Amino acid sequence: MPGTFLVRRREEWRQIGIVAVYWGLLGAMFFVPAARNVFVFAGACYFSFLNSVVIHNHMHQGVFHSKRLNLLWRAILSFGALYPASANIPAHNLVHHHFDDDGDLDWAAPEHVRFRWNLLNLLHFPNVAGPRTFAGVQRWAASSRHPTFVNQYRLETAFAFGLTGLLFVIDFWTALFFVVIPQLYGARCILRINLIQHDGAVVDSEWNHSRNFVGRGFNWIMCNNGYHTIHHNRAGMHWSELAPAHQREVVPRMDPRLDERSMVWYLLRTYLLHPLRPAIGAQADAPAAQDDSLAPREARRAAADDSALAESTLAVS
Amino acid sequence: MAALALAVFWIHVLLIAAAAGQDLRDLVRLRRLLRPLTSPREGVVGLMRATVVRGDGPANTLARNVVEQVGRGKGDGTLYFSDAAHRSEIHGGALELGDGARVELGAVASDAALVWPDLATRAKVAAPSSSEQVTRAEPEARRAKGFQRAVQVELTTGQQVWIAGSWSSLPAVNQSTKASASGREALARAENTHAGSWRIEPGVAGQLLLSAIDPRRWLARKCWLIVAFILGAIAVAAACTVAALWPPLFDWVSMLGAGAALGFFLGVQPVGVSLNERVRTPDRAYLRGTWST
Repeated sequence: MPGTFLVRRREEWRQIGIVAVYWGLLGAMFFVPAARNVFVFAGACYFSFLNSVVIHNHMHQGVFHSKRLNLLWRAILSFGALYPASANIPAHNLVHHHFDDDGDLDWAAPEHVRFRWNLLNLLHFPNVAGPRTFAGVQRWAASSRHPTFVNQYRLETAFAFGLTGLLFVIDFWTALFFVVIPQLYGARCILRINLIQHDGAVVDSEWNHSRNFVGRGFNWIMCNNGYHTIHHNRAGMHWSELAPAHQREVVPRMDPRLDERSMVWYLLRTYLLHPLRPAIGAQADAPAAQDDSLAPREARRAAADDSALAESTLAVS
Repeated sequence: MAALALAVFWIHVLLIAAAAGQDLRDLVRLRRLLRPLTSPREGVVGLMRATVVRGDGPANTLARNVVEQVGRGKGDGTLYFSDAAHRSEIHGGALELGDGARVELGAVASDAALVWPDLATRAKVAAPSSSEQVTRAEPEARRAKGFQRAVQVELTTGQQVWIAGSWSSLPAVNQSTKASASGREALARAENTHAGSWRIEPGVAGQLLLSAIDPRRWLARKCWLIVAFILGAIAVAAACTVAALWPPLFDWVSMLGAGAALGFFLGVQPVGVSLNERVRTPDRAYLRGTWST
């Protein structure tokens, strides 16, 4: 195998480290009473969100050389978020990346929430995006050409809920407060990211469909998930390559208002300092953005489907 | 930690109830606009029952509701449909009110048209005519683009409908005819006079509604459904809270209450979304569905 030991790229150790820290924090709180404090709890919630970021990256490009190990890794990640990681294939890779479910709205479209007080939209978004996602996944699975999807999905569900259930049996209250709440926090925050990254942007546009958060520290810990426009347009590009690609391809074509240095400042500004939901702000594509450097969305969706199929199928490894 | 968990639980239950409240507000507003009229009045927006007497669209249709669908399957004899788009089209035509007055209706722009089909009729139209039809569709359903179709429900001549919009009288061309006769007789004797005739235009929040079902009754049923959901959600959340706080705290009853609260928290979200989909007005209600050989 080319590259590095066990993993496809050495940057993947960062993702493995994130998940290891997260499991360490959950384990500490569950087994060591002294660790049940606000700092460890807050850390576990944050790393749960990062665990969902790792799910996102892993479902685009597997971390390990071994496909079997990649499928096992999905189960481990599923426990961290209390949902099967493979749900990302239809929900994120196939529907969200193209903002379209066969002509209907993306399951995580910002339009699904409509409170005038914008903070309520941020809080409520997972309550609607989550169920729409899982209902959509069920519909997709019924007619999917992915032969192993349903079995893998069930295996991840069984592992995630089985292990969580076991922890409940061992110590109900500790499992509820110090495992399940962080799990749900991370899973719900990754849904909220859809609102944060797309609300007010123009999903019909090729370069103004997403908001980017370009702070260096933020992107180090977030494994470059702040560079969202280029990630949508070049889903096959490894996350470690997104920063230069954003500068090269996106910045010259995008509405500059969609680049934000700090997510914290954006959240404060958008959801606390301005109580009302801002109007659509981004412009349609500028003439410079209307080029043929991108394949049509249909072709990109087909490529994503093929890639997910190849990653999930052991027979072709 | 327990207080924090309960606070988060209640915030989200109330948010889900509030989102259902938004749907309720929209339906109540719409129902208020559909004021039932016994007879049309100049410049008034309201709802009347009528019979279609002429349709200017294809095959004499007055209007139609269209659901564009994509069917997908993996070759096991079942096709799963998803809705790609919902469209209402009003082609124009004429209707007759209960008192025999005639209503002229022009073609309406698609964004101002609301056509509510009878959902049972729509389900029948969407069903396959034979297992051969399913077999023929399967190869297309396995391709990336899927099997594409449009399910159309039409409002045609002779059909009873409800119509709502802004009413205005048509100028009478032959006043003597209007004075001597009314209703069907007048229309039959003087076809081109417009005696006792009305025009209806978009006026229900800028739209014109044509419905195959009683829209006020449909709206009332859905409003009560939402009210029941909101009250039920709050009642169950309250019951879970009482159980979770049952003394001694963190003992068996308390534990069962907390478990029920977690289950309810996870369960009320899909129920809320399902309610939101169920109260979509019939012009854009999800059809989806399956075909099997």
